[in-house]
Formats: sequence, C-alpha cells, structure tokens
Amino acid sequence: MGSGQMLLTGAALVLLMTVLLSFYRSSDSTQKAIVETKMGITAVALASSIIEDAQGQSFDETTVAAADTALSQLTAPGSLGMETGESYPSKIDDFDDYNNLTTTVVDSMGGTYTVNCKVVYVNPSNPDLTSGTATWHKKLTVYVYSPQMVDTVQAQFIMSYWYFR
Amino acid sequence: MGSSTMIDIVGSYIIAGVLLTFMLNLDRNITQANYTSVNDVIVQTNIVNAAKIIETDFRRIGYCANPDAIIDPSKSILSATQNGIKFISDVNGDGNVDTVTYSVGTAAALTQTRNPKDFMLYRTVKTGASTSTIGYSIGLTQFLFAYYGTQNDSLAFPIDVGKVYEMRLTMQLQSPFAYDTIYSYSYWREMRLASRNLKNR
Repeated sequence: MGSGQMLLTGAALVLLMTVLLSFYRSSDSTQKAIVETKMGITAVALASSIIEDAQGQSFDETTVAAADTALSQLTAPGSLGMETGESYPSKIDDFDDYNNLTTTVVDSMGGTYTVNCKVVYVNPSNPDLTSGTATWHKKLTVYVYSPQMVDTVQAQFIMSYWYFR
Repeated sequence: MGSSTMIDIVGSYIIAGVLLTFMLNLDRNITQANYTSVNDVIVQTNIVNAAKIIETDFRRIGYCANPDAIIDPSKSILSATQNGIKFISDVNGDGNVDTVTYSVGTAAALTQTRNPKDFMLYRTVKTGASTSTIGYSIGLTQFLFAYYGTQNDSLAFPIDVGKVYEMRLTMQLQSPFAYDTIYSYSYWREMRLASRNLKNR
C-alpha cells in the first residue's frame, strides 16, 4: 500500500470518526433531554402532591378548631411554620406548617428529589410580593430539584380564608 | 502475486471489516435511539394525559353543581380497593349525580401490545340510566391506591370508605413495545389527591 493510499484510508477513518462522534454527541444530548423531561414530570407530580395535601389543611393554626374573624388572631408572619410537637407528614394541621419544610423523596426509578416549601402572607392586589403583616391569603411555593435536573421546578398555590357573618 | 500485494489485500479487508462494523453499530444505535426516543415521548404524553383526567375527576369527588343534590361527604366514595375506586361526582356539571369508577384489567387480557406487564385502565361513568366505559391502553404497569384518614393515617384494606380523607395513586407506565425486548422506559407518578369535598365532615 502506497503512502497516498494510506493517507486516503486515514482520511476516510477520520471522517468516519467525526460522523460517529457527531452522532453520539447528538444521541447523548437527546437522552439527557429525555431524562430531564422524565424527572421534570416526577418533580411536577411531587409539587402537586404537596399542594394537594396542603389544600386539605386548615388556613391557620388558630382556625383548626374555631373560626377567626380578625387578622390579629392569625399567626404572625415571622412565626409561620410548624408549631411545637408537629412534624411532617402526619402531624401537620394547617397550611403554613409547610413553611421551611424540607423533605427528600426517592422515587421507584432511583431518582432523588429534594422538596422545599415556603409559605408567606400575600395581598390579593399584588400576590407576587410578600406581605409583612397577616392577611387572609397565604401563598405556598414548592421547589423541587434533583442533582440530575438542570432546573428547579417551582409551583405556587394561594389559599384564602373566608367566614360567614 | 507478491507478498506486498497480499499484505495490501489482507490490510484492505481488515480495514473494510472495521469500517463495516462501525457502520453496522452506527446503524443499530441510530435505530435504537430513534425507537427509544419515540417510545419515551409516547409514554410521557400518555402519563401526562392520564394524570390530567384522573386529577380532574378526583378533585370532583363528592361535587355536584346542584347544591340540593350534594350527598353526605362521608358517602362520596362508594368503594375503594388497591386497584380501583368508585365515587360520586358530577362529571359534566349538569347538576345530576354521576357515579365514576376507575378499574384496571389484567395483563393477560391485553394481548394487543407486546409488553407482557401492561394492562388496560377503565373509566366508567354512570349518568342516570346510561353507562359509558372507556378503556385506555397506555402501557400501564402499575396502578395502586393507598388511602389515608384525617390524621394522615394509612387505612388498611378492606377500606372503610367513610374514613377516606386523602388517597395516593402510584402509576407506572412502560412502553407497549420495546427494542430488543427491553422495556426500560417506564415512568411513575405519585399523587396525593385530597378532594375538597371530602373535607366537609
């Protein structure tokens, strides 16, 4: 085999390797996107599970057994969270108990997810801003992330309190 | 034919063989990647659609557009098993009480797909005298309910339906068809469904 033929063979191999590398890079990127979407679905499910669960709780610790009629009766903004003796999931009884809750979930596929929750008071006129005082509206924000995920899934739910007069 | 020519021929055969192997591998990998990508998309679409239908139905447990027809919330669920549930609702919001049933078939009965583990999901709605059942073949391989009481306590089977306050549904889907008989593309979704109407007790 002459040197010219060797050169052509080498060039052909390089070309083939380039095509192969390009394909595997593209395939890897597709697989990553699929795994990311798969984990995103589970993360959304976990976030909605927390929100569904929170919807079933009382608005405030003070409304568990009786109705509140004044904002001053509600838990102060700085005290939102679980009360002494409460624990997740069995001992939670009101909506703001989810404040600062952090829990880890391992799914049946082996993915590990960390769930963080935040509860704040908001005003209906601007629910994106945290209210410094108690209002009849509490916003729960659930963050779900996993080391295998690029983005954090964030879901929000606002619970409002009303009473008959 | 000289020895150098022989070496050239043997060398070219070896190179051709290597190239052919590369090409065959590439072709197989492209086929596998295409197959699995399509399977993944199908499974993801199926689970999202199933979750939407189930979430919508479950939020309406005990609901009726006609307030006079609303029944005792503790009687909203008629039966609850590990693989199915039957409850009262108002599916189309016409003010008439409907009965909705979720149930599953057996893996042996579903012969249209190659996956030996998947089974059908059935949603039956009884409105007045008419009953309609829709079967979903979405690659469902797990459809398990767990039920909880007001204190988040797990309820044992057989379920006392009057005590159900929340339920957890675990679904797992696999692709109905596989590449090389490997059904590795399964998903799961867990929901903690707390119907608002179950709280009114």
